[in-house]
Amino acid sequence: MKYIKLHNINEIKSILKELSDNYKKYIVIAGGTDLMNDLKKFPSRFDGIEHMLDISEVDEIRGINIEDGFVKIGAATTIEEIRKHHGLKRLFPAIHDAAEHFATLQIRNMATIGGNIGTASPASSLAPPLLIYDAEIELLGPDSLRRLKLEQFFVGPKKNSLKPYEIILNIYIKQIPNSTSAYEEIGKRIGNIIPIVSSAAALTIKRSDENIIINEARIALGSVAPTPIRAFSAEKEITNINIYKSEILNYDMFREKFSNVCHSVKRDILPIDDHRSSKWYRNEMAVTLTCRALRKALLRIWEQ
Amino acid sequence: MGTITVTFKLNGDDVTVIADTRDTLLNVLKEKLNIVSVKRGCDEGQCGACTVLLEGKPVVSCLIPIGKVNNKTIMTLEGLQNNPIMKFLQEEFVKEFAAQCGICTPGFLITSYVVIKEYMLKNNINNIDLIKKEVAKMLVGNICRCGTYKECEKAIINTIIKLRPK
Amino acid sequence: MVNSVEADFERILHTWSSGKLLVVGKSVSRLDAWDKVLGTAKYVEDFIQSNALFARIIKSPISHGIIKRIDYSDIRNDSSFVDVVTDADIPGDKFFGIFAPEFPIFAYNNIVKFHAEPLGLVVAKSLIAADMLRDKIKIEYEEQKGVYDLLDAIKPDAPKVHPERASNIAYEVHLKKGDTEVGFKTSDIVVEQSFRIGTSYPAYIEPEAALVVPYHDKVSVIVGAQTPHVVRRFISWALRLPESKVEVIVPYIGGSFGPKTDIGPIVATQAAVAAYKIKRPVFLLYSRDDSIQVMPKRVDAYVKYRIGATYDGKLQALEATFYYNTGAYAIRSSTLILRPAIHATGPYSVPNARVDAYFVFTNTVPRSAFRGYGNPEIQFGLEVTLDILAEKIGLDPLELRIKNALKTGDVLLDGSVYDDTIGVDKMLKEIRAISNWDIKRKEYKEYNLTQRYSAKGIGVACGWHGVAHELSQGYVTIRKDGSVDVYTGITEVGQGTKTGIAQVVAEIFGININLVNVHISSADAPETGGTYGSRGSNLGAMGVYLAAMKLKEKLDDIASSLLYCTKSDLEYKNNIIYCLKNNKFIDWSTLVIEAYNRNIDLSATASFAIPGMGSYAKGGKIYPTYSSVCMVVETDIDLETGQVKVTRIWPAIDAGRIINPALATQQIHGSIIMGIGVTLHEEIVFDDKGRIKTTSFMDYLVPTTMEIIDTAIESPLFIELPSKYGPYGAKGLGEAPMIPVAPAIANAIHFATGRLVNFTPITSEKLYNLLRQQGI
Repeated sequence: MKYIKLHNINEIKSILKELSDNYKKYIVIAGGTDLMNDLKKFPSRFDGIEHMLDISEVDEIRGINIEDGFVKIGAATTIEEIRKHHGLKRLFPAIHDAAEHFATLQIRNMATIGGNIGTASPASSLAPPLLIYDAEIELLGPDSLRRLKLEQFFVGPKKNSLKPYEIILNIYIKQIPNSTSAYEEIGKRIGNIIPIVSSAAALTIKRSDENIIINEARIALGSVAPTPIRAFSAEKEITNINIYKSEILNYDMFREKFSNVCHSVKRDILPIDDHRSSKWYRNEMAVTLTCRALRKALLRIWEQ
Repeated sequence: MGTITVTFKLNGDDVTVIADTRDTLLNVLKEKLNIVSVKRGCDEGQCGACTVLLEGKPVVSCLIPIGKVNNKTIMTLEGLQNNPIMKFLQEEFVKEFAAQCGICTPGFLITSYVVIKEYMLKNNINNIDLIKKEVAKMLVGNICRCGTYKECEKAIINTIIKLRPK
Repeated sequence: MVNSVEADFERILHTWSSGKLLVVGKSVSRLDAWDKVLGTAKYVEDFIQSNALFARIIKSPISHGIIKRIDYSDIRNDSSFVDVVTDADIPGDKFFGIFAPEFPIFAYNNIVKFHAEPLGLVVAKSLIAADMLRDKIKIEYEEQKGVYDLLDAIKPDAPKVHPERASNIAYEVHLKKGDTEVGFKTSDIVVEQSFRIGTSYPAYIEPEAALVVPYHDKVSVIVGAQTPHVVRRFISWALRLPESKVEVIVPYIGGSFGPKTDIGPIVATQAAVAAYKIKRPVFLLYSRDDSIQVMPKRVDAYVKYRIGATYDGKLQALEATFYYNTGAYAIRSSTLILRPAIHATGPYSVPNARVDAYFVFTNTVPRSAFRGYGNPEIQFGLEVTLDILAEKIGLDPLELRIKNALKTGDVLLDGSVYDDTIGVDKMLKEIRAISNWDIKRKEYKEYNLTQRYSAKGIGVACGWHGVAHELSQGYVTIRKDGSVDVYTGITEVGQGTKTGIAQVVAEIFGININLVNVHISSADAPETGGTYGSRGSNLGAMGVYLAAMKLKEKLDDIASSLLYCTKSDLEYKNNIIYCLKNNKFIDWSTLVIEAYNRNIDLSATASFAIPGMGSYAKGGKIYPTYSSVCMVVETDIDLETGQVKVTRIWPAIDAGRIINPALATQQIHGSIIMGIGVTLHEEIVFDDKGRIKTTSFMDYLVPTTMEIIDTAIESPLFIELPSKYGPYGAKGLGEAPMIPVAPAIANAIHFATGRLVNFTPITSEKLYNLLRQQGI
């Protein structure tokens, strides 16, 4: 296997072109935190691989910028860079939440958003917060450049719709005016988990002193379907809800009020049994976490 | 199996190695460069025993393919021997009994060193509980099976308090 | 010198009460702390030399059956390939076990009995090559029906794990005291409860590894092993070499928590077979999934208790039945059920008791020692049943325990009389007070009634753990410059034996601890028994203690003549020997030189064993004394998710003299944090063929900083009651504090939710399920 470090998009394009007949013979590495474990545990899977293409230092795909009303996050941006970004924290708090909880500091310093989304695990903690912001993903091929909605990018568990000679270039997210958001996850312990269930919620709100009107919501969940998904049925239940600050602060009251909304999430999900959790528990936690994500998002309003 | 020649700065010295392309930085540090302080723990990136500084950032060396470190700087505990922050921290670790079997200790020190620098330089937080929570979050990638978390926390907080600008 | 055990006991009790200790009892800094903190401490992998080869184990793909062929034709011609080694390459003994030859070093006669059982090694020129080549080895096999669940294995029609045996019962132990039938008849209340305790993985951070360097007629072995003499013995048997040709070096060990007494010799022998055959140094390294799949785990158990008491809360009768899973091989023979059988009555006075214990084979990973050695499982059942009993009687559970606390003079289940001090009632009374137990039991109950989504719990449990007794020997020599070298086979796995033993010796000679160098883990020291059973710094160090005392007596002779002083008036303190009567003194180094000038031999060995002790093999009194622990634990329970947070713990310890309070506190913190892990979120999941699915640290979840950030561990209460069974009266405490953690948490949850928790691990899903069953 040859290791090749790429420095700019042109180099990426030309090497993809060069290898386009042999797409099975190369792998693309960004942070490497998923890839290296696979390489070590299943070495034979990589037998035919002749090239390891390292795109982690292609500056054009690193960093967070505004472009045409979208926020563009380069695929090689590390999770730690995302976590520390003040703008993202302010405007896309659910994404910041997910980055805060992501694995460990050491892994965040290497892992990239492109790598995480590319792995397309249904348990990706970044995916639900991206989905609630109508994320789009930009894919580069030797002669092509296309953009997909993130929902279309996830095809199945660890299956994405990358064509064999394509790489992920950028993720685009769109700010929601007058909104708040939050992300919650649960695992078998608190620190450094692969979520058993995760839930992200963004709410468009109109605020006055003591009460809030929630105009609409976007809800996305992870680990409860073959891919990360939007919970459209649950979202439909949230239109023009009037809620008082006291009803949010009091957990009992909040749960009462949002009971139907949170339960409706069950219609959108298709969890499975695995060695981390049963599908029954996932069903139950999807409801609880969605409620908690909604509440956390609302509580944030007064923190700003 | 392909090989790769990599040159990098290890603790301030230039080093060149020839390794298998798939080899990890950890394997190279142990097998070829005989670095003692960096420890192999889980070898899956979860326990932090193999933590080193790559361009000043704590990473788990067991997940870094060796090609990535070409022309980069790596620091391990050996390279921080004379660093005043590290020396304070090490003294606190000894004083507070923060090491039992010791295998997680170098990793803890490397990560804590970076966390302390962040806190010393930036922070106005005076609430010790908040500092403790942040420190705990930053150190979630360093596992101590012997269970010295409370002692490590004490040593790190003591160092932060001692070294903060007033 | 009067070399009788009674004199030794007298001496120990005398030093107990003789007033000020200089170094024992002080929180002396760990002697190995700087090594570890500077990163210069060397573990096995740090000894790799440039010509070493690298080996990985070849694992069985099936759980039960016959291996027909290990096909490595695909890799034979690879330039990095060196060799494949199997049990056919073992010249001598092929089975290992510290009590009996139970475990095959490599699968024996092509028969495998658990998934991933090691079939042999693949040896290559680099670690990465070994991994790649191992992945290409093809195994041909014939699979057989196996039995995977503990309770299935005891059914009459269960497939036999060892066909030559009558059943899957590997060992059984039956103990009796008094007459339980009579006891139950006199009881007003009888409760009965069963429990399932899951297995755990010790999860030491340092992986299993051994480096073996062959020479012309000897081998040098570097391995992380808890008992170096055992390593040497087994390698000598396996390779048919005399023990003197097997050099064993045990460097620092990155954690063990029990099993490295087996793992060390097993891994070292595996590597040694390869090194001996290939005639080159071999470094064998287990990957993390190798470690989880192959290496011994904690016993999992089915436990049943039946306890009767009179209305006033006095226990009358106790029956315990337990089945422990030993996996495919009973590496620890019967000892891993004998210990818990003896401890089944807990640190309580029970006039009538009966214990039936069974060790059961299944076609799964073997089970062996893990912190507590069978005690956490049985005592979980006991402590939770006591709370059930308390509830039935209407008595406070802490009060119930005080009422029945074990007393000196009580007869134990091994027929022996408990003749040491014990402070269970004292500990309970103190933690009851400082935790505000009575008020909180009321307040939390009321608070919980107002809460729908969360509940606060407070629970109590005790535990006890006999200190293991084995021959203890040591060698002490005083150098010409006054420094002291101590040689002992006791190992340092993080628990601080190096420092504790140095404190004992420094205390005896009244010298600065930095003058004492303890060569721990020495296979060259006289045999000293294992570093297990919490004996390392106490009974395990008695040989060293007595050897030092022998030397002190020689120095007393010289000092008394030089200072015109009777021996009883001599005081050794701060590197000076004083005569209290006439104020004459001499400094330590001068005294030593004087001894050398007089041709006095300043080296001594000593041997210590308590007469009349039984053994695992013979029965009789097994443990000379016991340490005990009581804890009050507070928990916050999230009723919506089943997540439990341990918020506060008050530990109380009765371990005799605490040689080093800071090190003791380290052990208590460590036991508590590990206890929280194995109780709440560490789970080994097997599939229906006994294969482990949780094979990485991403699935087997040990506590991180975030698990205990909100856990306040109060300063341990050390109840130092004079004990005569250890240097300066020290008993062990590496394991005892682990025992009450799980039941205290279960009892707290029971209190908070009214739900009985009769299983561990108490994962959030399982607790959530339990709560839903009766509508919370």
